[in-house]
Amino acid sequence: MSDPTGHDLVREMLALDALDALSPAERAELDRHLTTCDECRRELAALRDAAASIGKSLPERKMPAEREAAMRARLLGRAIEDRTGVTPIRERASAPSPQSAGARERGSARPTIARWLAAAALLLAIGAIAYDISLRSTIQQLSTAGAALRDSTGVLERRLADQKAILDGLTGPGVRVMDAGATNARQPYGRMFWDQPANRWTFVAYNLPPTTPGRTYQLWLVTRDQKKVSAGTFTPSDSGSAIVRATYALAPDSLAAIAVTSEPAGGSAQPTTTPFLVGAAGKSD
Amino acid sequence: MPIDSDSDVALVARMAAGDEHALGVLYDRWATTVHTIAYYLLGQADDAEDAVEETFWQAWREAGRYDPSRGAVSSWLSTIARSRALDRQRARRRRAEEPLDVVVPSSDGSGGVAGSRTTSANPQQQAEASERARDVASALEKLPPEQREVIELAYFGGLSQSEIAARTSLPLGTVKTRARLALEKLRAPLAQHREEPR
Repeated sequence: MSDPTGHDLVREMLALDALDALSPAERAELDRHLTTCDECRRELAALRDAAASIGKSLPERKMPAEREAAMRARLLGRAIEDRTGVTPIRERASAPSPQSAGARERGSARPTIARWLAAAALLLAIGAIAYDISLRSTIQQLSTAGAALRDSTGVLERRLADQKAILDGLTGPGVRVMDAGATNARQPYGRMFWDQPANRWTFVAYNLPPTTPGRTYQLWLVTRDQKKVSAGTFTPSDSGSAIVRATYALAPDSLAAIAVTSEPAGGSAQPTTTPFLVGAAGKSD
Repeated sequence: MPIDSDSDVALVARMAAGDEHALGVLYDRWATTVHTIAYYLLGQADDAEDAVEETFWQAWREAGRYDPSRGAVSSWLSTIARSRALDRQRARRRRAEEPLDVVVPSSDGSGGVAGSRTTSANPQQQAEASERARDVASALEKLPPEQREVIELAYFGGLSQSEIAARTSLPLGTVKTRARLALEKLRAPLAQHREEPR
């Protein structure tokens, strides 16, 4: 602490540095001081632990176990690749050390038994290292394959659950169906399945023209009091078909119509264009 | 090969020497803490998980630069996690003009349909944001409100001292003092319950 005035000024920066809230110039000034001040370095370490304690005091949020395991496998795979890439075993095995070069110069023309034994030991060591790397690589490949398999299983389970939800939304006893025909000549066509007891909505559409860049389609539930509730944005497939699912509670008699409009990408809070697909709700059963 | 009882510092030293098993043990020990920090800063599971992976990858690549005298390993990981999450938060804000108060629920209650892509947060997202805001407040509840505000803006919002001063209309000196007083309060319990060195 050779500069008491500087020390006091810089000390005020420590807490902000622990919170990573200093500008680059202030940080540089602080770093210069830290190179000569043990007291401030200790203080900063303690304040960093205090700042880190904010994150550690939050209620735990765990990753799903299978995703955590898959990430672990990925990280270890990358680390192995990184390690073997940074220090290739071939270089370590073949590069002669200064000592071995000197020994070669000093030795006789005929190899001695000791040198043969040393060479054999070196070969064995190389073999052992190569075998170790091979084993680690195999284990890693198996681990990665296992994680990939778990990922695939998860994806399939989710798809199955989606399919079942769609089927339930189309075939349930309380499902009402509304058709939405085209108001122009291109003949797009849509059908809404409203699973009233479950508040689930499934909209399927065909022959939709492709969206233009920067635009998206948006599905609306129009209530009898003319409120327009967004049921989501969507983009049709190459074949012009689309399926949109949503969950929303609505009283059985309060729906007047469904409609689809073209909106800016990301959707709109309220419709901004005339619907090109409209279907009246009809009476509730 | 490291065993589970190795200290964090020993694990990081092994990582610096190229031992990926040490990375695995460190991950098992701290992945949830790192994920928790990333989740509270980002509020989205996918983004948070990406930040976790980036954190441990950076720890692997920079293990040789870890200096125990600059803080515990868990603090080092927490700092990396926060930086990676804040990078993503800022990028998201630039892309979508997202408001700063990421843990505070939007006051806009419209947008109604859960599970659909709408322009405003749906009730479920709002509920989750409220829950996160309550958790953050609870974590910092021992601090006076004026100190908590500075800490929240710095830690969760990633603002610099100048930005905090501009946002709160406080002089820079007051921001510095409040940050120091707050961290000193948070530091006191640590002195009694130190978890490291492990």
